[in-house]
Amino acid sequence: MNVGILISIFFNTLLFFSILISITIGLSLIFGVLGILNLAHGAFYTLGAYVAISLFSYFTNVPPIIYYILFFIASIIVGIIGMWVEPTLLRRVYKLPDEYQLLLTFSLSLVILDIIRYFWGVMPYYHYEFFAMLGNSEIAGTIYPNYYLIAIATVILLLILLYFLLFKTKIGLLIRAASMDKEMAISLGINVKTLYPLVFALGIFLCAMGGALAIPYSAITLGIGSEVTAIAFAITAMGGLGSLKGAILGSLIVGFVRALGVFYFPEIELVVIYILMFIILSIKPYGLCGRYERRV
Amino acid sequence: MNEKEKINRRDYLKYTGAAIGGLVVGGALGYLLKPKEIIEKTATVTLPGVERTVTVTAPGIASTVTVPQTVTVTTEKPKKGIPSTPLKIGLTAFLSGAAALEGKHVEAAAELLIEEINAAGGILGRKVELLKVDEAIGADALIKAVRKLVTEDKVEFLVGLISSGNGTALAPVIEKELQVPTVYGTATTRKLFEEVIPKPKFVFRASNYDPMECIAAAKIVFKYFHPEVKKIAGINPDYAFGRDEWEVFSKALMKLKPDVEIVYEGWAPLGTTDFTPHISAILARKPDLVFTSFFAGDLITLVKQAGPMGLFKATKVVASVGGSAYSDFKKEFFPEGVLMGTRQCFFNYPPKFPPMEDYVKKYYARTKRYPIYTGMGTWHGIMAFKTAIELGYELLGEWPDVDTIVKLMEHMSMITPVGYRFIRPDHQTVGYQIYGITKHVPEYDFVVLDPMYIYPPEEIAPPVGVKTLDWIASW
Repeated sequence: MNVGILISIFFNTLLFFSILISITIGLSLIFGVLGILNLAHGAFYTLGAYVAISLFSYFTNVPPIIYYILFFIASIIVGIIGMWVEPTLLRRVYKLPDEYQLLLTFSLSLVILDIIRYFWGVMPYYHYEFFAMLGNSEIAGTIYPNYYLIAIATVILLLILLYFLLFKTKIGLLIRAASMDKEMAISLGINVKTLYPLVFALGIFLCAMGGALAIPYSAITLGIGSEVTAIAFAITAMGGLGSLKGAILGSLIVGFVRALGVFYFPEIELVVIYILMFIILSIKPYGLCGRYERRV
Repeated sequence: MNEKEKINRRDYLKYTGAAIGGLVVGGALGYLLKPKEIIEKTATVTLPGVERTVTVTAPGIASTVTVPQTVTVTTEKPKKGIPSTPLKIGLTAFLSGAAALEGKHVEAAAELLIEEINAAGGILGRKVELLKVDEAIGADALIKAVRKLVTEDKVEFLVGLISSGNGTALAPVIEKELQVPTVYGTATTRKLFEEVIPKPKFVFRASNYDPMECIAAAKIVFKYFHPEVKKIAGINPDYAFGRDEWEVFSKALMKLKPDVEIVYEGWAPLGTTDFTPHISAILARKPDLVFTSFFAGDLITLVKQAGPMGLFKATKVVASVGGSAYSDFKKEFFPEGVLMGTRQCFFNYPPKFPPMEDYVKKYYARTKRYPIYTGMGTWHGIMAFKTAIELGYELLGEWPDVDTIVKLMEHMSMITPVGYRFIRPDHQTVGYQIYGITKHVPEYDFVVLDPMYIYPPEEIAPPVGVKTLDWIASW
């Protein structure tokens, strides 16, 4: 195995990890705190991509930093939509059996995708300027687009910020308390009614960022989120529902297995991920870092 | 003869008189009550000026029309057996989800044609109505929806259909149960007529099908594009269509050039966001040629990621179904030098062919896109059905039954915007296959094909009754 291949596998692992983690971290955060498995996550990912590409269309021939800022603006817009969804829709089903949550979030995903179809249509959108502007790097004979490095760095930076928010701030302490024991948190006077929309918005912001970051290297169509969200749900189960550590570990493992698998066993690329999931769940039924009882 | 039986002269005269009177009264009444005979009269009124008011009167009818200079009014002969209800056509296509990109073309082509047919008076005077079903609901739900279209909504013809999976699931139901003339606009799997319904009666397909583009690609690579090819790699969609395309292309190429070796076979699902591991893996194996049957949005994503990583500089690339969204393949990311197939439809072929020139103009005005093969297949399907009905009526003097319609469609040749196309007795439509090398020209913001390689169906479609792989093996 030469160095070029090793470097390819290393960066391909990180790139796929950064795409996956933007979805899985939000899924786990929302499940961990709100107790809801958000089936609309993939739709928010798609919405992030569409909002960002619309913002992109207003700018041509601007410095790359402007495009970079637009990723954040688009994700914040989608995050705010998420903040509105929690009190208006999700709050009504917390006390109902789990299937109502699944039905609600699944319907929400259909509604969001249909709204996208209504406003943006079904034809693909694309933006290439930003990607081309940044150029390529050559690392040990392997050409790697600089944009990928920026996307990876952005997601890792966001993860670090999330870590500080959750573990070094007061609001993070409250979120962790609510996630560990909701009743106890309420009885200690933590106002979960203000906490929940924030957490949901944070999860949605992260996944919208994943969608927005896909713009430069992907065609934006309604199906953009379908493959990655399917894998993201598998990872969330593998890592342990509600566990942030599990989401990170799971995304890294899957990113690596895929990068390696495509190289050496392209025939079974997708199957490898599910075989891995099967093995992990047979040994640890609650996932790698799961601490929750099975809810259903 | 006794007195009573005797009829005297007075009585005789009385009865005879009454009989004659009765006849006269009856005759007069009969004359008055008999239906008005329709008398055809042609009147030419020539008067100075532009408009005239002409009053047409007949017993019981009087109408006044204002006519410009000349007007011809023809009273049509009564038509036999033509239903007075509108003619309903069921359209199945992806109307939601990522594949709606192709479905939109099917919808636009059908609506455009039906508007034209209705503006010209419909099919034998019957207005045509379009009822749509979304293919994205999945094969099982689609079968139920189509069953409802036929049994409850009384649809008389089905057209459209994009997915091969839906097409193969629906075909036996149409053949055995619903028995309604059906033309698939796409659903191009070879297995439809080779395995699923080898003796079709009601189901037709108006598009070129998969083996044609794969065999044409192999022949063009071997002859013109890269005769020295030794090592090939494939990156294809991970479902039946992608697997079929790769199998037929690689087998055909290896038959033509037995020293060709496969160095990489990659599969990725539809909607893949990240192709980079595949691109790295292909680059590491240094093939001379890469074949892909990804289409529409996925092909855009693949090309956007492969370009910067240097794939198009390192190797030659064949995209067999680039025709799926070619006017979206913008010059800024789609490179020159790719061998791209567009099935039977590309906006500037056949060159200077009036039906195509007219069609492209109308289509572009409506959709701001250029027509693609999915829509052309649907166009051909509706026209074949319309022609069969009109022919049947001309021959039989009445609205033809289903058996007659499908029999008439079975050998039908037709002038379509994409050239002269022929429905074979096995219900597969054949015509030329377009390939070309992508090129950037100043007139268009997307890649065009120059030079073009046009293959006639005789060289790339397996003969009637012969299975694709058997045909390739027999070369």
